[in-house]
Amino acid sequence: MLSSFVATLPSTLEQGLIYAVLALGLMLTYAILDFPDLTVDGSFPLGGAVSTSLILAGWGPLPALLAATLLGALAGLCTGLIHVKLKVRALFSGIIMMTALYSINLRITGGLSLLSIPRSQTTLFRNNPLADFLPVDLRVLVIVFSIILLLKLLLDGFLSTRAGYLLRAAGDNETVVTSLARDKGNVKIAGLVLANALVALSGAILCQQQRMFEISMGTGAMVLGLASVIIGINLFRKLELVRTTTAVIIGAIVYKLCVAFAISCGLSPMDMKLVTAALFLTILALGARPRKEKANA
Amino acid sequence: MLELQHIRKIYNPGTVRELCLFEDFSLSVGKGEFISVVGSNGSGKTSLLNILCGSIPVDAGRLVLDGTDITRQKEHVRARRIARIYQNPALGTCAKMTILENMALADSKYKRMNLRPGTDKTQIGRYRQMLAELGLGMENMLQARAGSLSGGQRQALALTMSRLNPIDFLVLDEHTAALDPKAAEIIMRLTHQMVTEGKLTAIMVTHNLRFALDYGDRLLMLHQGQAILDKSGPDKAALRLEDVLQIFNQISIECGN
Amino acid sequence: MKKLTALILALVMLSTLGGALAAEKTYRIGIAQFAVHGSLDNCRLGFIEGLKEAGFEEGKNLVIDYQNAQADMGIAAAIAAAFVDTQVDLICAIATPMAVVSNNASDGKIPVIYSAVSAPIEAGLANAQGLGEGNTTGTSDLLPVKQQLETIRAMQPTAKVIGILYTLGEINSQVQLKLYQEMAGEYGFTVEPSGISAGPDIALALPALLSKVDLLTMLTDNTVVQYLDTVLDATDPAKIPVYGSEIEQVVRGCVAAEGLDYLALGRQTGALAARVLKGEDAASIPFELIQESALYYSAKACQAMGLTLPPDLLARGQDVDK
Repeated sequence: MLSSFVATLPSTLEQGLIYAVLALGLMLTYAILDFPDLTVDGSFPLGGAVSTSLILAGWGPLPALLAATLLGALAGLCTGLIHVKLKVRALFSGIIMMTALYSINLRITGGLSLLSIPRSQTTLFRNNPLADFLPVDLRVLVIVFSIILLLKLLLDGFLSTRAGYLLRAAGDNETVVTSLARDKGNVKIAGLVLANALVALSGAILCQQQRMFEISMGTGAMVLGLASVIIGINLFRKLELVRTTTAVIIGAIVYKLCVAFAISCGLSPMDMKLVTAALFLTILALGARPRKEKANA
Repeated sequence: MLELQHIRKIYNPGTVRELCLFEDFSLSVGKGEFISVVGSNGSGKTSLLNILCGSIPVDAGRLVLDGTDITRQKEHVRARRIARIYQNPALGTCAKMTILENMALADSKYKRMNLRPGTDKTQIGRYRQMLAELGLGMENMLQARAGSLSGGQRQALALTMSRLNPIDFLVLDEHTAALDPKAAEIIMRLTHQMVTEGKLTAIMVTHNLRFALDYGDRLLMLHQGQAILDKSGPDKAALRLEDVLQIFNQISIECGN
Repeated sequence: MKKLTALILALVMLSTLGGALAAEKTYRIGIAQFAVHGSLDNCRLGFIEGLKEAGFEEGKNLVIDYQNAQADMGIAAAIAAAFVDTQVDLICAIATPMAVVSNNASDGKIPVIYSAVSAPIEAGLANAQGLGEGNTTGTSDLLPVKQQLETIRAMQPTAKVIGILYTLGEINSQVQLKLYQEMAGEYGFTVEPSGISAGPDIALALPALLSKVDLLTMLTDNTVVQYLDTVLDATDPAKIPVYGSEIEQVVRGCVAAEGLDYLALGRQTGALAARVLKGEDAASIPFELIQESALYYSAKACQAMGLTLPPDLLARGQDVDK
């Protein structure tokens, strides 16, 4: 049991790092912007559908990823416009986009619920110079780790720029944004665009790694991402030195570790999700000790 | 500097709760004036500020700031020239960001929110000095999160943040009401200092009649959407607390407050 | 005391003997099932039986690790990875998403035997010749469309239009629908398809569909099968017969089905797996369709619809009500 869990660690780490991109996107909306964004359930598969369809059409892996990211950004823009200009509630704006994206994703795949990438096709992880250079076992891990590292550094950098401060302010205290003579609606839209771009990128990477796109891959994506964000933030609450981006990435890995552990537990397959839930609860309970806040006047 | 011309504002028009707050309200504020506005609950003092800042629209009338008609301007556009300090200390600062980050954020108000560093390292000394002037020890707590500060400290930070930018008009919305007496005194002192040094035009709504008398060069008392007392300069200086209190109690009893 | 010692000695000897016998290799098989579903469960049970019939029995020389992804793609990927990383001897993947994910995760390292995959070629599991793309083979639950059309024609000589409900975007359903559309003409039928997005839409789609058709036939579309009762509630009063795709559906009220017996399909898959365990190369074995379709009918349902089975069908078929 334990040995089988240990054997799966590399794969689990890979999956955790891929989903960490999703978690970073959700960190932007949930943790920073304080916006519950359900678009994610639609933009995650959007990225996968776009990337897979383009690869099957002969595009290179990087252009396919780029296209997926841009379309994800567009999805976020739509959610933002619906919320800000049409004044629809945050949660419902996401629901509207997520629902619309289901049909859009089906159109992108030409009506098919499942797309398969043949082994001979070039993806980010196969049949390209870098992938061929790396040893087979480390291929996915190295590439995915590099991606997440790059994204993390970019995000950390962004969040410490003026624009990043403004984004953080928008989620922290809208009134301050207004008093800075900035339109808080526009800031929110920008945040949604960036977040969904990341989410779609995550879906695209996943599909290139799995060599398959399946229409239901979006179901529960928001929950998965949120769980990763919350686990990560909770685990590192006491350690001020650990940046939120790092915490969230580790949170995604921990999430996948819980799932892998539940599978290797050897309990009835029906109970797997219950075991996963119990593991989350344990982790959150471990991190939840009352903080002493300074008394406010 | 600022003119409110024939403002009409009705809350919940056409419903059972219809309330005509301002029928035909006009006010003229000169450049450099510091007006204290007092009045009973429901007299319209906070609504006046909201109308001024743009958080609520008017039904009729005009608002003119320095010759420009701002009646239709959105709240955040008006914020370029009007700074507002709220009663709730939490509204003026970002709780999850540090004191330094808050200051840096405010300092970017008139700059482009682009990808340049959020905190300009060369300015940290300047921020420190401004915070030191508050006398609250905040210059040594630059990395503390604003949310961990006391109400008085947060309000002081909010004031200092507005000081960073040259503004024309300062709106103070009962900004000492939620503070303990000592903090309130400190904040009022700071406010006074800021207004006189910066030669700002300011309008302060307060429920503290003493502050209203001690600070500012014009006193306005509102009742049911109308100014029933308006004294400036020497007339205001001559006012005594007891007189004002008497008028105030009279109108309060009338309204059943 | 002596008796006790003797007894202990005997037990020790027996256990070492048992140990010697068990020095034979124990195979480890991972069964990865995509979802909890009657047909898929039957598939799995049949698979285990099929292995047993070929000499691989749990408890003797076989250890089975059964995992269910509960229709969650993320979990499916984790299960596939787990089986590959723990180096099982063979993976049995039930249902198309699980099969594709397992095949990709294994990347040739471990044979993947799939089952209940309607369209292996379209799913990228097999090439046009039916041979595996990678170290894989399996069984397809593609409908015996020809037999179904023949049976329907025999039972309803004058019917013209066949209605088919299916889930939009469901790759298996699309393949099966296309087959029906291609072959219906030979038997004098036309097909009237009706696509839905989700189960609750079926009740809304039925009135329009039923006004145009003489009968309905079922695909192996998971959603529509789940909502069969809703369908029957509308077709029974309208006296429109519904032909099923497997025996379970006839039990629930369809008039007849050239059926898929998922237990039999599973056994067939088990036999394939046994061949691979014994040394055959999976990629060299073309995937198999169900060998024979069995005719199941419900005398009760037929009577309610005013249908009678011709003698040759009666002889071949099996009344589920008995």
